[in-house]
Amino acid sequence: MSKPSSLPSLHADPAKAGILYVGPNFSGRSARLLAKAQATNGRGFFIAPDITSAFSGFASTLNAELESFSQSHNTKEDATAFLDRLGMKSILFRNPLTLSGGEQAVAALAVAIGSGAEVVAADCCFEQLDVNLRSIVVQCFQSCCAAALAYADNRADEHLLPDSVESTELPPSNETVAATLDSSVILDRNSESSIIEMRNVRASYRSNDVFTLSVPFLSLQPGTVYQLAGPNGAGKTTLCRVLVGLLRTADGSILVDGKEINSWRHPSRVAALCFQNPDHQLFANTVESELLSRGIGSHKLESIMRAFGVASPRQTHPGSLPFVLRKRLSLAATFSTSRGWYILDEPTIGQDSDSIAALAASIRALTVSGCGIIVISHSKRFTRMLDAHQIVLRGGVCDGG
Amino acid sequence: MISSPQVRLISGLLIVSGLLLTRQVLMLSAACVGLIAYLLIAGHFATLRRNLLAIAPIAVILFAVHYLSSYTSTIQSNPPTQTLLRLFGIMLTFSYMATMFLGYDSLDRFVQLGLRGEHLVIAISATSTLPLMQTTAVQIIDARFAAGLVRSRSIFSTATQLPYILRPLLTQALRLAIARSDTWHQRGMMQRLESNLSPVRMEHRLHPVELVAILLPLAWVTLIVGREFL
Amino acid sequence: MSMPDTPPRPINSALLIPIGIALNLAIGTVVHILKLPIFLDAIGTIIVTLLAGVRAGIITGVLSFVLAGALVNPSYPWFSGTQVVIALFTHTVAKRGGYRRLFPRIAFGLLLGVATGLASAPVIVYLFGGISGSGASLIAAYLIATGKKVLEAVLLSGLAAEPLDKMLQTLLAYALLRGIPADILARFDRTLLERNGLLK
Repeated sequence: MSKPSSLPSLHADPAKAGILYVGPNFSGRSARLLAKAQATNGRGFFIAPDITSAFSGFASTLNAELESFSQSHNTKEDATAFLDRLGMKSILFRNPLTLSGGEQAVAALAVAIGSGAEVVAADCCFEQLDVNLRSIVVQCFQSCCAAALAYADNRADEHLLPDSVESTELPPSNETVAATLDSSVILDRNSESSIIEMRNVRASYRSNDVFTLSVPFLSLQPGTVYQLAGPNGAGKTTLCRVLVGLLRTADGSILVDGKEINSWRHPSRVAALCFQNPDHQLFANTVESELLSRGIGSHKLESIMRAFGVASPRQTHPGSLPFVLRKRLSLAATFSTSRGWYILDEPTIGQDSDSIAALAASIRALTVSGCGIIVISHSKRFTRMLDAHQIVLRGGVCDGG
Repeated sequence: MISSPQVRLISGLLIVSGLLLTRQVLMLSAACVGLIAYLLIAGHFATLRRNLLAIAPIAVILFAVHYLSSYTSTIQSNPPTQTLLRLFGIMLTFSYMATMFLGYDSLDRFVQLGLRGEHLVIAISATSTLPLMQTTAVQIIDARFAAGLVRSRSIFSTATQLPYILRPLLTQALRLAIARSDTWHQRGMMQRLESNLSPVRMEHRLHPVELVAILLPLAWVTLIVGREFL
Repeated sequence: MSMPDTPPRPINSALLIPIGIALNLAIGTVVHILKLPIFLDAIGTIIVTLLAGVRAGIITGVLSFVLAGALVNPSYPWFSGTQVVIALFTHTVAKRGGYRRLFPRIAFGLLLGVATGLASAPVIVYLFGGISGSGASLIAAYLIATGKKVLEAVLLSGLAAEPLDKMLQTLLAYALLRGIPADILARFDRTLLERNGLLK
């Protein structure tokens, strides 16, 4: 990707080059970033992986947020200029809390610029941004704002770093636990996989009459990994929701091994879906009961926790785990549910390269045993490792497998 | 139309006191008609519909009870028309006072009312937290269905889900509030808010419509007081 | 996350109150989505009272009902007094350790229902003519139609419906609070939580 060199630099200051921390999970990136933000005596701005806490929670639009909490009129103008350069000025008038993940990261940076911070520390919050967009966002940030940027990004090696960023490698700590999967844990307890066919399926959300998804014909074979590809708003999530039964089909039929099913009446009969945000999918008071409630036997508990790198005592409250482990736990819980098909929405968020490799290996192992997997992911490395069949969606229309 | 919260408060209180003082159907209906007219002209159709939906079942039951009890017993309850009109008027007055605080410029309105500091934060975030929690609640229900933890969409199996949905909802909300509380403290956001607010406050000149909004209820209340007590 | 060497600063109650309000109203939404035949409108008030004290609880309850009046049904705000009663009752009982064990919790939950039944009766009688439009008002309507006095009918119907609802809400609130991870509870006033039976 070419560097957008046409952008004039407003605050050319070579001393304030960005710092990128590279390292595996638990190598102390977050602690360093937090320390950097706190060292500046109230002039630091820390953005945590779950970006929402960066906003005041007070303003109903990003614009109101900037107006209420900016340092001065000038810094507010800088923030607007930043959004303008990215062509994202429209998010100014939306609620920062209901933006999509990628947009939220950009909005948080805008709030940071507006606050007149001296140091902005962003901890793994760019993962939902499109790979091509990431270095552009960093460059725009640096040209619009005098603050020093420090950040961590698990997928930084997937795109070209801007010249203005220096990367600092952190060694793994002793506590590092990458997922090492013994896939036999899952293999012998999965139910029969089946062929899923969709014929002339059309679906839409209640609010508008335009069909947001249209699938003329799609046949999904067990023992295969499928990757849903297409730009934002192409209908990837909608297709998953229809398959699992969260969205009612308006037309057409879904057949499992040739028999028509009503996925809306009986959700998740054929496929279990693991959502992007782990917090929505963890319900129990302890890690142990979380996994047991999905139907896995207690003798397998240890091995499935090890398999997914859930390095925590069994009695820990899932909500007390760090984000990385909450994500791993939600994956472990999904695979503890016995289904022929698994649908994974952004399964690698927050995970380092070792964990991603382990997850890819385990998914491949599952397909060998006959499971079907459908993945939505922005990580090119992950999908390459999976050797996935691409299903391309464009404007809500699916071209078939 | 009427953008000053003080004007709305004063006229609203006048109307409520009038509604509570009078027993005359004519005066009660006058207030209702006036309030409905205002809500219609100002375009608050959803609010008006909510009011109608709220009063309709009460009206049905009240009339039914009245006619049934007039057969079975000699005790006469208050005539339902009067009760209904008063109730409807009071509901409409509340809507009239509340509608202005639910828009994009609600911050300015609360500031005009004189709210500052923590009170301002509570008032504003009360309205902005709700949509977020509702979205989260729907997402959690979906996640539960998607994970295969609910057998079917029958009433019984969904009803048993309530505690499982509330727990992550509360935990998540509290976690966010704690993170946010730290952020507010670290960045001195309360002070930032205070310093950014001062120029927002504007001097308000009484608009002709607002003058009417005060004078009309005042005349109406005077009339009521005159008829009832003099 | 807080640094381990500094004692955690208690959470600002101005940020807790909106959660209580949203909980009061969002649970209503959940109940509505699941189409359940119950009416859970005070869990947020109870939870905030137990976590942050009576002042925060009262603000939560009153603002919830004012907001519900603007967003859901304009008859809510007139029952704000009932919410004040809920916060005061919960605080008083919790302060004396009344919720620590299950059976007293059930008993005080029922008693809370009696208190709210009494508190909302005058509003229903004098403002609503006896019929508030809730499920309980059908009972009241029946009683009035069979010749009972309005006040008597409203009190009886309230006492029939409220205790069960409030008992469920008290139990549910405690069940939810028990499920909060320790690191979150650590950010609230420790003495208050100990007194309320949420910490040992």
